[in-house]
Amino acid sequence: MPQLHNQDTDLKLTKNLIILEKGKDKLLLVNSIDPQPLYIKRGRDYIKRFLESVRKLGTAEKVKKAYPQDTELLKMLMDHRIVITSADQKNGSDKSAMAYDKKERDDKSAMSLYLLLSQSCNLACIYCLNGIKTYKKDKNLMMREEVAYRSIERCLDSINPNGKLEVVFFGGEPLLNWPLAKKIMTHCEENLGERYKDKEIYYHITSNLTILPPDLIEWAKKYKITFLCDIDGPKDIHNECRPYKNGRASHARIVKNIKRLTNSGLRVALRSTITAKNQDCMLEIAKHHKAIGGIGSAFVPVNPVNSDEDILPETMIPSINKLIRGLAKVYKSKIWDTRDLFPFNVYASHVHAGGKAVRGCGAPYGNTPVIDVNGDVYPCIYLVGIKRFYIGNILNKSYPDNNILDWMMDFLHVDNMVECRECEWRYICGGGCPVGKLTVFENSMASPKTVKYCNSIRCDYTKKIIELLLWDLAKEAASSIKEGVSNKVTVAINNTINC
Amino acid sequence: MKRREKKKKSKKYGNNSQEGMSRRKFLHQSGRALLLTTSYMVISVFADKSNVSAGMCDVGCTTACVQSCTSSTVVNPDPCSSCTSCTSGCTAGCTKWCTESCTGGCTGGCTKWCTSGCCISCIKSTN
Repeated sequence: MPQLHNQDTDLKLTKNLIILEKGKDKLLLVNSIDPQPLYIKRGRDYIKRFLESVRKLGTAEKVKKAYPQDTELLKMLMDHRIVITSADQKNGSDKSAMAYDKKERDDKSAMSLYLLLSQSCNLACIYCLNGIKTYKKDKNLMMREEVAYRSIERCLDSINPNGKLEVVFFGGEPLLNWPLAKKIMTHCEENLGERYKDKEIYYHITSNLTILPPDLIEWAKKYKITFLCDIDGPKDIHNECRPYKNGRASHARIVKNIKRLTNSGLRVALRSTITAKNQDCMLEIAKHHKAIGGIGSAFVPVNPVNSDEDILPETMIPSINKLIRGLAKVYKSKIWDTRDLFPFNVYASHVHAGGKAVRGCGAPYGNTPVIDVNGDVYPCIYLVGIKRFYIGNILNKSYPDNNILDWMMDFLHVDNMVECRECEWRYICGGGCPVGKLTVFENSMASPKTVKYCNSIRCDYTKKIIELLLWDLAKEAASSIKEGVSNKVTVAINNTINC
Repeated sequence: MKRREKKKKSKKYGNNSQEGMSRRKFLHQSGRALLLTTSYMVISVFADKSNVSAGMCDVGCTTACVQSCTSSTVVNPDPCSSCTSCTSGCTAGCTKWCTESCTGGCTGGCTKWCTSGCCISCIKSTN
């Protein structure tokens, strides 16, 4: 807490200061390691001069002498950690700590366990992640009960009391192995419930929803299963991106099935993989997701490398500028509430006191293990089949190979990445989704354009999302004050008004 | 009379003693603060921490996946922030993460890196 009665307090500006400007007079200041934004709706130049003076004068005493009328301002800047003390820098509260992180890996309150129930799929999406070699698509491989049961037990064992486990049925197309999904849920409820009564289990299916087993709705209601399905656009665009193997259109059947689920009161979130094919119609996609009854909408730029480490043709890769413009349009349209629009909802969860993120995701912590049909484990769904990310087999002691996870923890820490460690945004973006960095950068098949695309997704694209979000939050804060929502919050100085 | 009332309100926000609410705690509880003068209008912006309802990770799962992805990467709440209202003081172990006002010391719970143990103690001590 700022102790301004100590006149000799040394003052500095945080090194993690994000400064955004808009219009003639607006300014937004955020310390990314402790994101409590401060919105200057009026008086940008004054505040900038004040900050410059703080930097030059360097002590509370001198600042108070030079700006006797602005003591409250200084306190507010310190409250929001825009201005910090030397002690903050010295004791490490203005930079991240790396030492404790690996212990945090064993302190799990939530895990998402991905079970690849089937390696096969009935669709032939133009950007399919599942390489022919690693997924052996022609062999119709299915997971065995033993693998699934063991996976769930090992995850439950590693979660803290009162923790949550989300069992994600994934594939291939998981509904091709629906009987196993039912056995798994029965096993969890009837055999594991008592043993792990202090832990909660949730079920989720990520499916193309071309198939709807007759008893799916009944089971989904009983076990509160949530769904996620990819709809890449209105009919024609979707059909071009996600046809059946024989080339037939899939859109009509999927939409019909989504409606059957939603009409039964089930929750289906929708997702769109953005490629060069649908980059120009993101707003239409958002509207379409809404129209067909989705509970949320996710926009995910295509991953340009598959599990065989083959690179997608450049013609499939979307333009970063179009992606940013398209996503901005979707966000500003307010078709979706922020909390239901990925990736804005995830970054919004970072914007609060202490919301720093030193890595882009939970994969290095082992929080999202993906179990292949034979029990092989990978830390992220995008890394399945890539041997250097193999972290053991769930059926034996080779899992978890913490050497791989340790390496990922270090490699993906924002203070370790050369391209991130001097950037003031790093603690709020966490370096973005690291998949491109892990799979593309050392891939000799990747063209400079593909590498640039992956870099931009992690950086420019992510920053733009956060910037949009921050301005929106600022606008909300200003309007809530205007509306008198925050009537108990008032600071008045000089000849100023109370709200 | 009006002027005196104004001063009182301002004092409430600014008071950092044990009797009053700490500035930071006040900000956290209220979610908003406004500083308005003829030269500037400054508004604090705090997002709703529960802003993720149907979180969708990159690969597209819902609900718990986001928790899995963020529960480790995002420190919530940050011990530094929570500890700022710790007036009775943290001990040496606490200095790394607690901020400058944590002078006297959180005790036993404060071992790891001044995590929840310390924060909880700190918050309790001021309540």
